[in-house]
Amino acid sequence: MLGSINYLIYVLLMMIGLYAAIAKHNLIKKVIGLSLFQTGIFIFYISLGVVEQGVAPISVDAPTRFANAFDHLAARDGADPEALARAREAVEEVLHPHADHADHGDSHLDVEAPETVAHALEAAGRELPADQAAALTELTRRDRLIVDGVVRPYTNPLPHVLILTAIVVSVSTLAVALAIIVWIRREFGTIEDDELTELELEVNNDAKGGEA
Amino acid sequence: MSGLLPHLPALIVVTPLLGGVLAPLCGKGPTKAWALATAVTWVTFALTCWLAVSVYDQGTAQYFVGTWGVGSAPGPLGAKDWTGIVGIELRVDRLNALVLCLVAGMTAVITPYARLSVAKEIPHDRLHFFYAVWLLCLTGLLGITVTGDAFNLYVLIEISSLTTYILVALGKSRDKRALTAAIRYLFMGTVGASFLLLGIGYLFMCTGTLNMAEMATRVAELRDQRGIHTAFAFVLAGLSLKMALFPVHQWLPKAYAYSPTAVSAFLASTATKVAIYGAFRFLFTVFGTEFSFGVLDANSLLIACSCIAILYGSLVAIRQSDLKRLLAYSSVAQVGYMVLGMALANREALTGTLVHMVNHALVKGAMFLAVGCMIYRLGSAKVSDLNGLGKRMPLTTVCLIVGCLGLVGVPLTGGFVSKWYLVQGALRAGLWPVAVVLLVGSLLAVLYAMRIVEPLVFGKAPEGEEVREAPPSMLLPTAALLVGSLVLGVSGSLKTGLIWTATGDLLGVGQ
Amino acid sequence: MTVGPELALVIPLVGAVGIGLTGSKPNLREAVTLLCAATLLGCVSLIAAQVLQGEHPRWEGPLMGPGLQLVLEVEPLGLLYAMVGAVLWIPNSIYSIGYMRGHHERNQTRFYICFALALSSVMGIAFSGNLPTLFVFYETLTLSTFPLIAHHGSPQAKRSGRIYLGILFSTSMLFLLLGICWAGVANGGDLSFKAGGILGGVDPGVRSVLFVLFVLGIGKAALMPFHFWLPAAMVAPTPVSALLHAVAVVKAGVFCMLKIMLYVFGLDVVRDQVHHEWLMSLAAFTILVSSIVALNQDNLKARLAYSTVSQLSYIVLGASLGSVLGILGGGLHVAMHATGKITLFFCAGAIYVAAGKTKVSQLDGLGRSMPVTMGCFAVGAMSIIGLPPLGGAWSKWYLGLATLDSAWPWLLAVLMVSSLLNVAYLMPIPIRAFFLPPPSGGPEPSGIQEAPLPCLIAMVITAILSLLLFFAPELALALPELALGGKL
Repeated sequence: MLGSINYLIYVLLMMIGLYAAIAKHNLIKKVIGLSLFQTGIFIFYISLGVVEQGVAPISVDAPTRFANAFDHLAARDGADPEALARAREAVEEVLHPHADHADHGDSHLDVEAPETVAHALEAAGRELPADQAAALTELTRRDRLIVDGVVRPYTNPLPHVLILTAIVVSVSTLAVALAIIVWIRREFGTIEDDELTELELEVNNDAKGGEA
Repeated sequence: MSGLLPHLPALIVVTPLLGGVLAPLCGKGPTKAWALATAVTWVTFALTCWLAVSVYDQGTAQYFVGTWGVGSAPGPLGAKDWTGIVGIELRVDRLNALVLCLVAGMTAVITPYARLSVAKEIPHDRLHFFYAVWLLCLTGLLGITVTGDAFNLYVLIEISSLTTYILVALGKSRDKRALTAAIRYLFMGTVGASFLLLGIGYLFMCTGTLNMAEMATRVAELRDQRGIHTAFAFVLAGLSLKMALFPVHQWLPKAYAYSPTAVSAFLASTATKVAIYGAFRFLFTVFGTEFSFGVLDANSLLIACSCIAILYGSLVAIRQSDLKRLLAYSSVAQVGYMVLGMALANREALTGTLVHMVNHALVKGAMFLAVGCMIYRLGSAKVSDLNGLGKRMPLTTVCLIVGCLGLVGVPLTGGFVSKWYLVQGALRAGLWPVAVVLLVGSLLAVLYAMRIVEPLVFGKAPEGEEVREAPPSMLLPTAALLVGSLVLGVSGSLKTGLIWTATGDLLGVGQ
Repeated sequence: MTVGPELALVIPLVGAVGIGLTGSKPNLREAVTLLCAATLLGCVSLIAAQVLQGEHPRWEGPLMGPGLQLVLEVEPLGLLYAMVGAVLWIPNSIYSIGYMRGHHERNQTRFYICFALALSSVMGIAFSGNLPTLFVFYETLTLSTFPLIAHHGSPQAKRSGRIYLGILFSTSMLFLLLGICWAGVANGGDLSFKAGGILGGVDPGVRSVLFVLFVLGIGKAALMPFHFWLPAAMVAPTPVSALLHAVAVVKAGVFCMLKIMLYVFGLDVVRDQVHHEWLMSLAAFTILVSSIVALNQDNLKARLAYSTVSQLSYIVLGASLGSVLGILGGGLHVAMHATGKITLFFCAGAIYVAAGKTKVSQLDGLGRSMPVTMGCFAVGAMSIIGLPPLGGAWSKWYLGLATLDSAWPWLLAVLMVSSLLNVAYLMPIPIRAFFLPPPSGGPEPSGIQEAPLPCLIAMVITAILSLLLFFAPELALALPELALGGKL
């Protein structure tokens, strides 16, 4: 129940906004209603993007990922510190080849290339028990981030990006609406919808009278 | 030059956008900004034609904006191919190539007309802003058509809508009711667009992508999910508002009636058409025919609404005394025709819809332009003003009469061809009452056309005032559009070529 | 020399442009009209020569869309109709000159342009090679004749124009177009005219519905209850009534009826596989009722109009029998009634121009001051009644044979009674004119002279044509026979 509270709020906001936009007579109040209505939708989008424990998707390079993963594994119960240290070294070997290996011409080693990462995992796997090796593979996936020793998924940034755009759109709509309302006030002398309808009818009748 | 070809989808949107930014810099006065706008619209039109030809020959054109990892290299989150998933894809197939040409072409013809007409209806110190907004609106419309990304489509719909509200409101110096028309349009339009936004949100939630082609493949697997059904409802409601489909059409008559006449012509011939294109894209591409019309049975709803639209719009049009309102209500009815053909969802009916789209853009645009000629000389355009116009403004009269014939769908105009296919489509779908509604609709069109034609031909001009024929820079665009509709009626190259193949693509039928 | 059917369409169109360009010089304008009419007749004659040699000139227009193309193909029945139109356009143009000038009509240029456009549509209908083409020209004929009907622009003329457009458009759009589209959907898209029909494989129920749609859709055939437009249209200038409502428009209706029976349904289907009894009964009803209505009309043109309604139903009756003789009689009646009725309208117009009289009751003794006009009227009347030695006798003869040959010989009685009614409403007119003394009480009629010379020439030509058609019906007979494939 509590998990979907933002969805409830979004529906509620939308309904309040829509009601105001339809039922209120004052144009400004209608505009406010419209803004509420749109805000509801923003909350919906933002809620979409939320992932439990998610973190911002800031890309981390492979050596750091491995380093974090080893730290995390080491903190777990039942870890074998020696095996981990050997594995860590093996990975170092792959990802940071020593200078004396550099004369083979792999000085431009691409640490992010899938084969390099696979190679590093393979090297670490030789030193580790199977369950640890599997955990390492899982922890070094690119869409996992380890923050403060906790594995966290990335949140998809897209909904937030989208909603920023939508907010800009809604602000522009608000601006245009207010500008038009200012004009209406200048031309008709009122911003009450029912009075405007009457005034419009009068213009209509004037035109017809002129015609006759 | 051919180096430009792969970039055309983007250039089509960028050109009017740049123009829109530059126009206010041209300074006040009626000429400079107008000249820029004219040049920009014609360049855009040329580019769309070029693109359409290449799409017709070589198939769908794709263009990626802001995507990374195109090809085999992995994107930041490890997916193999990020093409079009995070970034925006512009995608032009035969259907939107047609709509692009239509929108750019109509604008290119109407802009030269706008110079005198708009200068008469809008204060001169606002003219450069008018053309800026005009070009931005074109940008939005072309963008909606060209994009392959659902959220991008929403943003561009809002760009075109916001500019449209402004354009409508600018009619205030001729008739202050333009302002209330604009604000009411704004309320309805914003609610509609927000529904669309919500629908796209649900789609994104269920499919995890915003790319429409990508969505289509995933929707096919997820068709039983409630989120997809919700998305469908919201998208359909939002687009119906934008199309002005009965019963959410109320914004259209007033907006068309009180906006500056060039704007009425522009909106009537482009905005609703683009919204209908959007509906095509969602119903046929994203959700797929089977889902839209099989699983959800949206066609019964759409057919019912469009049939009522046809009858209601025509009946109300008959009773109007103001020509622009008459034409606007006729537009409500004509939108009904187009949606009807879409909902019937067979090849004949879709061909009918697309032909009708082109024909209605040409004819209704021309009618509004001709009415603009009347306003330019007479200051108003009431049905009673038509009396004896044949003697005073003979060329405008001819344009109005030919336009009426086109609206009715008399043989040898494009309207007949579209009616022909729509009726065939209705019968092929086994719905003869719908065919009858279509035909009754065109009979009602005869009635409102008669209200225009009869005083033109047989009416007596009021005594006194001398009225001259409208200037050639206004008559030529009007005539050009009508000639276009006649050519559409007689020549089949567009219909057998682009339109027929486009409908085949939509339904997934071979050539 | 081979002449394509498209030329017959183009000639009046070019003529219309020529008339428009020479509009400011009336003499030149009328010369263009006459020249155009003569050229058209020459063109149609050349086509006729080809057809009689067994050729079928054909022209394919631009493809208007998938499955929608304008096709012209000459077949004998259509040629007969085209011949009637082309031949009678010449005397009608001559007559128009006399009438329109004698009557000081306004907007004469528009009048002649619309006339030429109407003739072009007539040729289109006559030579149409498929149903869409037929429909296209059927509608353009309605449109181009509308300004002629409402020519005067008076409230009454406008009202008539609305009735005319209203009935013709609503029937054609609601029923004919629906029928055509349905036929296309039902049989897989083949809408061309073929001997033996194109609906052979269609479900019988659908075929019966299509039969109703086609018959009701052809409002120009003036079958009751869709006949109102015809009497209303008589408000038009007389040359319009003469050519369009004795020849072009109404004959377009019945000709379409014949053509559809013959080439869309096929005679066998009409006779045996569709419910066509209702059409026969309706035609018989129309024949009798409109004759009776005609009896009570004092306005001369209205009486002629109701006579036309009745005579058209003869042709519908012939078509609905679904027999070779019926089609032959109907086809012949197209030609015979046209020459007879146009003569009558010429006379009615001449009386109006020369004497200013429009009512039957005013015609007493008019034969003394207008002997030629009333003589021609008598000839035309006898042809309509079907008395030898005039053309009308032949068509009525074949129609009579057709009814005897059918399963409903009582229809012959309908024809006989109707002929008696014809006598009753037509013959009193020349009898009054020649044998009754001029009214003594009213204004002095001695000032009345014969109608203008062009009018007289025109009506004498058509009266002679009626006579010729009795003695030499070969051409008029040859064409329907050819259409029926020598089944006689």
